[in-house]
Amino acid sequence: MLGLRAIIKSAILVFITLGILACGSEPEIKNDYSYIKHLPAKAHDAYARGDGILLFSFRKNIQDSEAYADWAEYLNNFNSTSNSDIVISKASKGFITSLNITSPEFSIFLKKGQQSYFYDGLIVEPQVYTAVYRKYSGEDLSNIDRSFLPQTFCQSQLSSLVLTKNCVED
Amino acid sequence: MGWKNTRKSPPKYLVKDLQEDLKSVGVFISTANGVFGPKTEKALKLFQWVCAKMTHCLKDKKHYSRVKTTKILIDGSLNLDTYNELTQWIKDKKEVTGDLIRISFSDLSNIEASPNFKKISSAKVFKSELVISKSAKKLISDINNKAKNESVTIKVNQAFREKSVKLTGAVVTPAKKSQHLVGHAIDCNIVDGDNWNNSTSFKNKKETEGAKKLITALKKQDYRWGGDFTPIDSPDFDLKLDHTTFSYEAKFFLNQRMISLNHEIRKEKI
Repeated sequence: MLGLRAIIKSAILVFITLGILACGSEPEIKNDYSYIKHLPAKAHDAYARGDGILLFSFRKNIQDSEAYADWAEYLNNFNSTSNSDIVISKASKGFITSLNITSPEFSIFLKKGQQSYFYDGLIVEPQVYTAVYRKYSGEDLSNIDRSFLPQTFCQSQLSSLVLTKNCVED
Repeated sequence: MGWKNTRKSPPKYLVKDLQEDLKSVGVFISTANGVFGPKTEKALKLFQWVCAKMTHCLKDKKHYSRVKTTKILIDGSLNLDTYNELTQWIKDKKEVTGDLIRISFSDLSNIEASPNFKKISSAKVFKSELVISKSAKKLISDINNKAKNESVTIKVNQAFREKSVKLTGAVVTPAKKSQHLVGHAIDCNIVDGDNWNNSTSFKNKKETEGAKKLITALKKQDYRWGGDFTPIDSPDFDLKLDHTTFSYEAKFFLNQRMISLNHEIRKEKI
């Protein structure tokens, strides 16, 4: 009788332990870099060279909005002042589909070996570009810069756009 | 349209001469060809708008105060009032200009240039000054006063914006219409203590109390806040000038021309 009780107790303990372990473990993330093949040629080359790239998307029917006006102004200014250190390009449909991005307007910053950033919506503050540029250039970031950095994510997790903090790619 | 007999008719006036005169005062930018087409009509309407609405023009390249000609019709046709006004402008060697003004940041207790603030290209403007339409001067004054009340600081990224002429470095098409292009808007962040209220703060509803109160106070004064726009543009405050109106078109032409021709820009205090 005592032996049976001990066996049941052990079985319950094992069951609970396994349950805790199952709940606490991360779901398996598949390292899927297939989106790379959807990068526009110049962005692909830049990425391969180790340069930073910025991919953006927007709907054409917002071109009369104030947000579009501000976004276009600051993006063009950034492009003319970033000395080609960051290659800027429109994200292809294939790229958006491969990542299952549903936001109509977004920006993605990628650089090999660096944190990647996803900005949901139109960037209407030039400080966002400055912060990422400084980060990718290895400069020290001020507290203000840090407050403007977009959300980070792992490129290996791009297929599901799982946004995680402090993820640095190999 | 054009040579319409509205009110009293003007004396004989060759279209080519009219075009040359409109060119002299700065509203006709095409080649005088002697044909009264849409460009001549628009130039005439622009001149009439300036006569009716503007309190300044240029005389010998300097700002010159003038009294508005309220009786003038803004319809693009040549009538006696317009003729008289135009001949007087030619005689006085006057030229149209915009209503942009310079305001020194040092005159503003709670408004500063952000580290990303970019001076406009005009040599008449200093790095320490923001440029805005005279009509939107009160917007700046009200933002400054409300910011003072809430003990917050406004960090300006941009106010008046130059229309991109040469698209070197442009990756996307610049907007054709914006309140910034007429000098009626300001892009800024509300800094409350050490907190920079930026787009992410508003998106995550983590803006500070000071920022909330400032926005509420400004909206009560009928200014627009970009956080209410679609798509959202939370750093933006403006005094709306409907971009479908001729007033917008006129102001756009005059203020952009004011910068491209390096006109004098008056400095004003708040």
